Amino acid sequence: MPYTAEISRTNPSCFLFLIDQSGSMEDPIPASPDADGPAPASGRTKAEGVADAINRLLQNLVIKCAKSEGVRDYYYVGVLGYGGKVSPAFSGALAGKELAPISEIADQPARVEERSKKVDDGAGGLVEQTVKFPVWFDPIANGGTPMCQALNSARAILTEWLGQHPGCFPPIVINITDGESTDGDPTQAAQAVQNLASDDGNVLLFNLHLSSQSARPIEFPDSEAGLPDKFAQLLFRLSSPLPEYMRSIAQQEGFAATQDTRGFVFNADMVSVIRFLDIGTRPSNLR
Amino acid sequence: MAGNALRVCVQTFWTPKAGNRPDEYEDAFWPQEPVLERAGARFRCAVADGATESSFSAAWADLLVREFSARQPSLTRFFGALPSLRQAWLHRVTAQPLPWYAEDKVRQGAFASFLGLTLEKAGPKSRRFASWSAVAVGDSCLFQVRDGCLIAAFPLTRSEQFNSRPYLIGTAATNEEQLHAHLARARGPCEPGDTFYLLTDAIACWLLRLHEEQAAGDALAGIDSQEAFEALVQEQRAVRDAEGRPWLKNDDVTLLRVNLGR
Repeated sequence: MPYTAEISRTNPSCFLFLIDQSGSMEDPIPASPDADGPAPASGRTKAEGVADAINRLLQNLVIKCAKSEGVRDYYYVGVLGYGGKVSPAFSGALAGKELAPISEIADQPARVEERSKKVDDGAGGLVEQTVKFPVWFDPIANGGTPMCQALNSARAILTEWLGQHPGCFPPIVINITDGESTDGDPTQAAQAVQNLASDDGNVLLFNLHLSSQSARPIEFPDSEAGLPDKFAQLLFRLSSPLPEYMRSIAQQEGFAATQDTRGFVFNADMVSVIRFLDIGTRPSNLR
Repeated sequence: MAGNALRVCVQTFWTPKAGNRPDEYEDAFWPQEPVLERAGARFRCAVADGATESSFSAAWADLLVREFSARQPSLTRFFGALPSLRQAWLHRVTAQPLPWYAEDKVRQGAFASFLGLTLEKAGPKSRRFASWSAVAVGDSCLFQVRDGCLIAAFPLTRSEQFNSRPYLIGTAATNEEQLHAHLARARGPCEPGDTFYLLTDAIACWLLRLHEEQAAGDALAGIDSQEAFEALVQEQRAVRDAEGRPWLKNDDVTLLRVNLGR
């Protein structure tokens, strides 16, 4: 049965994030539509929102892999930016690295910021607490959306990875974009990524589309039928169906996931970005 | 009947998850000797299973079994000692400066299942030989075997009960009422020659499944050395059922066997 390989230090898996860094990522995050009328705009850009989401995800992943003796290399992780250029997007000591073991990520954030967070005071109120927020990835926004080139780079990186880890739990690629590809139809490049496989199954490619307008997100659709336009339909077709274990995670989170459900969100707001990243990176079988 | 003392022989066996080093084993048990013979009016032993997701859970599991078995407090005192055990845990794990992610793990806390067994010789006027009582939080299990037959299982009694995520004792200050709501207690009589097994979840589930599907009585009777134990664990991790799942889940495994002298 595919997607059941144990993820361990001797048989690690891999996450590769493709982050759209085109000029339009400088636009503000649209307010989420709400029954009580429009929510106030957050004043932050899409690029900043995505950077926060990726940094938080990396932080959670490190903590998940942290054990008493240190961080176990259950995963290798890469962040590839595409905009003015296509290149590895880690800041700091990891700059230029296509994939880094999670222990290296743990030990080498570009910096550790302090942020304030409201937490339960245990008496029905909220108190502000300062928390450490490690940063590996900074927001960038310029140039076009060379999605084909980004997918081709992902294929090259993962081809090499799979050569070294033929029995691994298949790598998961999460592409986060706010617009259409500017270097051609990405269908073939996306299929080439999905055609890569380990003994445990094909590489999974998920797409996360950020909204430019205040529109309700469409999360985990199972057909093209309800999608608003050709671009949404194209991204749906480029997205892998959820494997069984991930379907059940999506169901636990309240999504009506079926056999045809794909790893795709259209018009995502920041809440659905974080939720999607959480579901898409939750391990199935971590030793 | 053999005087007023209860004679017990305890054997302990343990092995880490396949692929992990012995120092990464996160269960705990007490007594810690491979073989121990004791005679007395009362005897205590315990196992605990530190949760894999948390860090420093082996230290927490160790504190729990020591407190229960070596210090032998009443149950009320044992649970009353949790705040000071939590302090001891925090002190132990923060003795060295920690990197940011380890600080985060300490904040999340450690968790462990716990199973404690007390054996007591009956008083001189009682018609009984002895009695057992057990307390459990989570899915570490106790089995009582007599003449090769399983006669009691506690707190879980069927293999399918191991699927859900159990409630565990945590190092973060918790609602004590909630802990007491998840506390299981049981007691019963015991006879000379009875065997008790204290098992952490993977092998407890395996034993119950063998009992359900193959009516196996004492499938662990033949384990007489650490080598035999490791061989059984290795073999059963490799055997797959019809759905392709291993018979014995790859996990830390702990087996504590208590034989009551005749």
